[in-house]
Amino acid sequence: MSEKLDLKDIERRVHHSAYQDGLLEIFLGGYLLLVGGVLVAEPELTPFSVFLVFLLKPLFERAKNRYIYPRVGYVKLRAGKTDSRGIVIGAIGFSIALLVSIGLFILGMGEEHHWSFWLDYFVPGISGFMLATGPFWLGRRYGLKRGYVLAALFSLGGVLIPVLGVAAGYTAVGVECLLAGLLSLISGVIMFTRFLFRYPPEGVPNADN
Amino acid sequence: MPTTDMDKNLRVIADIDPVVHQPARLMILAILYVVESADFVFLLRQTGLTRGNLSSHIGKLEAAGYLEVKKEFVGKIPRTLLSLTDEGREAFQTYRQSMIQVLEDLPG
Repeated sequence: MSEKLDLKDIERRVHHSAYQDGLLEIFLGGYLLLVGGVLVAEPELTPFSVFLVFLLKPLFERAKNRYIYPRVGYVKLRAGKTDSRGIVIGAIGFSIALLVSIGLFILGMGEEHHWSFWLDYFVPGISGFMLATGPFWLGRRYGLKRGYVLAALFSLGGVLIPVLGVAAGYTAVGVECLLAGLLSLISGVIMFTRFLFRYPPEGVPNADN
Repeated sequence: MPTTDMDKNLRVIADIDPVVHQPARLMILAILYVVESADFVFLLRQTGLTRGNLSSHIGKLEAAGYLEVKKEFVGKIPRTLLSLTDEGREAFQTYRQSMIQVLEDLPG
């Protein structure tokens, strides 16, 4: 037996196994599609759609109880310690985004710009980074590489969507939510389908019966 | 049984907790050590043990006072949760430290 019983690795694997079913991505994707659609089509209804997040948790738990726990069991994870390093990385990333935005704004000051210039580019950029914090935290906390990938895509999307002229301002935020939601939903459905095949409900080993 | 002349290094080996020092039970303890609680099916999946085997080892750990079994209801569905007691956590930590010491002191 190795003298190193790597508890950190066991913890990481256990946490990873609790998020392998894709259900979180499905719910997050659905919610982002809803919010994005409302932002693009009916922006004045956005505050109401944001409050729908409070309905997500009970629905998510019901889905977990129905499809996940009977297959792989239930685990209550321990509350994590404060991730100082992750907070520092996040703060640095946000600061860089803020400095770049301010730099772009100052560069634009030479010409006459309406305040909407600030709205068109800054709001989507910051929204992209805010969207990225959730997946980034999942990646740091549970070792989910797809969390980092999603965080990078969300951050880039917030910058590229207005820069490439796809949309601007709050519409750009809506478009980003739609794209992020679609990506999350598709990846979640793929993972969930693979999960259902991998863990049939009666597949728990029972050689003693 | 340890004698008064036993080398202190051998005494550490002799004092290893036999309840913990069993591969299946060590797996169960290691998994429960890093979580707050888990149910039977989760442990079954994580350890790869059979139902009977897992039940037997859980029984031994519970009898030793290292494991706590709680039954709760989630809606109408019963759920049995397993978690380490304080004694169980201490026993696992002591075992880890003992094994590190034993393996470091072994010749070779």
